[in-house]
Amino acid sequence: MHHVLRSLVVPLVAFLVLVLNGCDAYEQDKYQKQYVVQGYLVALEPLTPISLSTTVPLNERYDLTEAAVKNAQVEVQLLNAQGLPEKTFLYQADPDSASLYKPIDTVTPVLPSRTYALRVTFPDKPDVITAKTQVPDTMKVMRTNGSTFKYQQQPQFEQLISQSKNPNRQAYFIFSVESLTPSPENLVPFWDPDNGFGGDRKPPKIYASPILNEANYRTPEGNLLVQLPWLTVVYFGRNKVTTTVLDDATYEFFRTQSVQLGGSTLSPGEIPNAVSNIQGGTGVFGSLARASSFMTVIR
Amino acid sequence: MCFRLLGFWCLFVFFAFLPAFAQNASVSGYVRDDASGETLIQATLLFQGTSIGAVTNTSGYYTINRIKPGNYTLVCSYIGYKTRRIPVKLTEGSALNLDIRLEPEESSVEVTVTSDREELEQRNVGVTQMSVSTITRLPSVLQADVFRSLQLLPGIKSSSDFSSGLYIRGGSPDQTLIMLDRTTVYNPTHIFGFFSTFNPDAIKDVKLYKGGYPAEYGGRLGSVVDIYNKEGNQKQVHGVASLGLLSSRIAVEGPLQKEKSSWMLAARRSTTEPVLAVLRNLKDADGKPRFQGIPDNFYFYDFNGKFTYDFTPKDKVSLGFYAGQDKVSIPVGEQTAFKVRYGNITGNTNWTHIFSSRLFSNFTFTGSRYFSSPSGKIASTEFKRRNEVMEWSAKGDFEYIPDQTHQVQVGFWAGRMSIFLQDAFNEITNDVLDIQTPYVSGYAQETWRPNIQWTIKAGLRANYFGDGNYLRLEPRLSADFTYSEWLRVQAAYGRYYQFLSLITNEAFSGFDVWVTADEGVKPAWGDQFVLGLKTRPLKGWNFDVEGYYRNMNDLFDLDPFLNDTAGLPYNKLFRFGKGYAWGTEFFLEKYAGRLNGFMGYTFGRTWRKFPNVNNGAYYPPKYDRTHDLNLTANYDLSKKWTATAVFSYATGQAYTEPLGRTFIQSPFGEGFANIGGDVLTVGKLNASRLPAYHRLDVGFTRKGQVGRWGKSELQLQLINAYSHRNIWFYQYDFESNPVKRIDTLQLPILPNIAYTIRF
Repeated sequence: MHHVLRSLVVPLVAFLVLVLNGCDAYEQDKYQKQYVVQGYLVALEPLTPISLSTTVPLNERYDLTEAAVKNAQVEVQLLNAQGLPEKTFLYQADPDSASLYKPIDTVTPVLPSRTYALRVTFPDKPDVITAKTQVPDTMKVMRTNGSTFKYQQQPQFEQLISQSKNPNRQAYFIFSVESLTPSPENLVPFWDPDNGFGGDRKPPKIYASPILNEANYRTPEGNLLVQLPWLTVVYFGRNKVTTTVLDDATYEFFRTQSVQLGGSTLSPGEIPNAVSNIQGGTGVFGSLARASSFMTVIR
Repeated sequence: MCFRLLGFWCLFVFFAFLPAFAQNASVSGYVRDDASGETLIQATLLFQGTSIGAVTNTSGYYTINRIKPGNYTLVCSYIGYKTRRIPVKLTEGSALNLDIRLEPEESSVEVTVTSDREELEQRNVGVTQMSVSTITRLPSVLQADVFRSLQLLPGIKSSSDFSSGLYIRGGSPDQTLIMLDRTTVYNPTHIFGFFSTFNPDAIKDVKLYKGGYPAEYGGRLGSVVDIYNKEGNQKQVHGVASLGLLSSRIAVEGPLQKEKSSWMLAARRSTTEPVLAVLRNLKDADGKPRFQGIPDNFYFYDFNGKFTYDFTPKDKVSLGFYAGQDKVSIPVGEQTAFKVRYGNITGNTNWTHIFSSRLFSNFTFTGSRYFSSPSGKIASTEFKRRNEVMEWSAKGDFEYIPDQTHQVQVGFWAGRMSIFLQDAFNEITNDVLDIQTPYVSGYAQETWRPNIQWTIKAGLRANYFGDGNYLRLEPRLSADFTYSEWLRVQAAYGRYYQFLSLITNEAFSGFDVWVTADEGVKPAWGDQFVLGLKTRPLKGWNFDVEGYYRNMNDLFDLDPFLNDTAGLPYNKLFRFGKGYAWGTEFFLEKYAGRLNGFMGYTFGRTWRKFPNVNNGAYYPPKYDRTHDLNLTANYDLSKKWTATAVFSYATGQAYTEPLGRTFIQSPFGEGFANIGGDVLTVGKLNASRLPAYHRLDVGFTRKGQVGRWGKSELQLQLINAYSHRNIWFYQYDFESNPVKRIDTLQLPILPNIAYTIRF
């Protein structure tokens, strides 16, 4: 019997030592309210409104009107090559919206390949929110292969687009199709609620692709030849096809946001924060460049 | 380096043919199952009253050298078989060739308890062997499975009820080398990870190195599962056929030439089609299908085969193969369809040659192919993936045993691997991976037994991997001190490199992709330290404690935020990180008597760190469970009836609890966008725990007779007997405001029935 007890003492002592040392302090954080910024500048288009709000705890009702941030002082600055403000654009609260701030200057276009900085301050508190974005280079639709297409015909609608130059990396795109005649009678078969994938989903007026890399479409001349997949067409009739190139901020935010609830190699339940370029908050202050053309889809 | 290795081998061949020392004798041979002629791996041999003995190797061969002439009793034992005591007379200089046959135990009620030393001899550091009878006896989800049985052992965790993946000592499944008849298997699962590709009817032996594995293995950071298929019955034709709820199987074996050659063939196929047909045809009151998305096709099959021929008493050749495939095809409305087809094919040719009583060799040529081709069509837009891993290799291993105190092993493994991955969407193809790389490994290992108490094993493995031109050395060291007949103390250290990484989704393994190290992507590496105690507190009982610590460095993992790989340099596809794990495992086993079973408990943690998540700080991966307890018990109610129960309890898995939410519109406004929408804000990654996991499975087996020619077994099982709905993960329903958290549950209570006939 002695050897039975002896054989157990050492492992039991080792176990107790490990148990005592094993308690770790990796505890869950508590919720902290954060400012949320949403704004996109579009190359060669006037400045667009910026939304300011806050996060809410997960177990509370989300209402943008209640989460909106009021009385902020918002400005966007065009920076020079040294990073100093070259021109400042002031914003004012939109009386028709709880969270939006509209630019006072609605004429001056956003310049491609330039850097803009956002600055938000408050008269009654020391909080400061800042962010920067480098606007992508523009591109244009050089040609298409037609204007009218029968649904699901081959070849598909094709655009040849000039390159949006970026010295550091290839361009990242999203392709979207916006119906200019959305009505239930115009739904394509795939989106028919009685048939196919559409099911209970509300057919969208705009269908946008995931983020795609330029290298998929590059021609030997350096342009992009993009064929439009038929799954992006929701309605018969006239459609506006847009190619949008993203800046770093928009790219990083949305590629990390899109996997929060699954769809990547992360384990189910493993949720990272979206990567944000906002200092003093979260969200995205980004910029885009886009080029569009039109096509008509017939039965 | 090649010439040095060649010289090394020549020296051993030379020594093999040196005459034995004039004064001493040797005994060598195979240990086999008397009924079938199958060789027995890790059978123990000991000259009674001495400390001179040996253990059979993976070919079932043993050799004992430098024995003083005299009369002895050689005791040969193996669990599940009757011990044999053979009188042996050895004269000066004699080299006795003695093949031993052991009779299987007829009833588990009368398991022979061998000596403490013999039992302890078989329990080496970090090694576990699991018998096929244990695998087939345990209550199982729909059918007996090797990996699900291994998950009951301490140090081995599962990720969910739906996965047979092995998470060993804090490592992910790709950190375990899976081998079938010395051939690597790259995706050893059926039904998207639900259970493994290994047919229990075809298997002879399963050996698991949980950690600290020796120099003869390499290529993975953590562990090795080494599985051998049966060679076939050399005396008579025998078979087994089994009908179950999920699948049915048949295995037949027999001699080609009695006592000289044999064959084994086993086949398995799912039998879910009738159930799917019923579900597909069920209609609502208005005539619409009640269930959407029922597959048109959902099946798997696999074949195992082996042919073995003993050309001479010193030469044995075998040919083995495995082929298996899963196929699913799901229509979703008229405009959408998805298909997945994936599987493995392996083949091997093995030649065992005995140079002399001191030198044993094994040569194997292997081929392995893993393929996966998911595809789909949505509104005439097609997407396809072509994913293939192909590997050819040659292996050679030599065992040189000059005397009782030394055993030298050397070997090599050389091959060529190709990995191809191509994605196509809307007729645009992207060759994501196209890798062709050679690899070569060599090892040398010495086992030194200076006295009856100490065994020291030291080895060095060298690996060369062509892509990236990496040459890495892996030292290994282990020490074993036998304090007494009831206590052994063991320690091991090893450095391990891994040149491959698996891109997988834990919930769904049908799209698994292997990637390799390359320029700019260094191989992962880690050190392991193991310390263990193996004891025999009472006759018929084992009690083991083993502690481990391991680190993992230069882990390379596909960047989970990568939407599209086109145009990116290879090293930009990955994120690079590190990790570590530590734990203590307790294993208590009662292996004799009407009531027998085992309890495994692990206390351990594992951590990872990647720069682009959790602010670069360490976090626990989902499969980290601090406490993991498994209890299995078998009770022979009578000669015909056996009851089995398995109870599992584990700390809830780690998950990230979202703290807050907001909404960020995509730049395209309201519509269908693959980006934008609800955004969660979180604190530390995986800092919360799901509720504790627990489940009880019970089973009853009734043995019977089928005429004069066969025996039957009826298994009735209840999985999750008290229907505790364990949580797999949480989902969030943003249609509700506030957000509603939805539990995604694991298995409910599930009956299982299987009928097996052995003939």
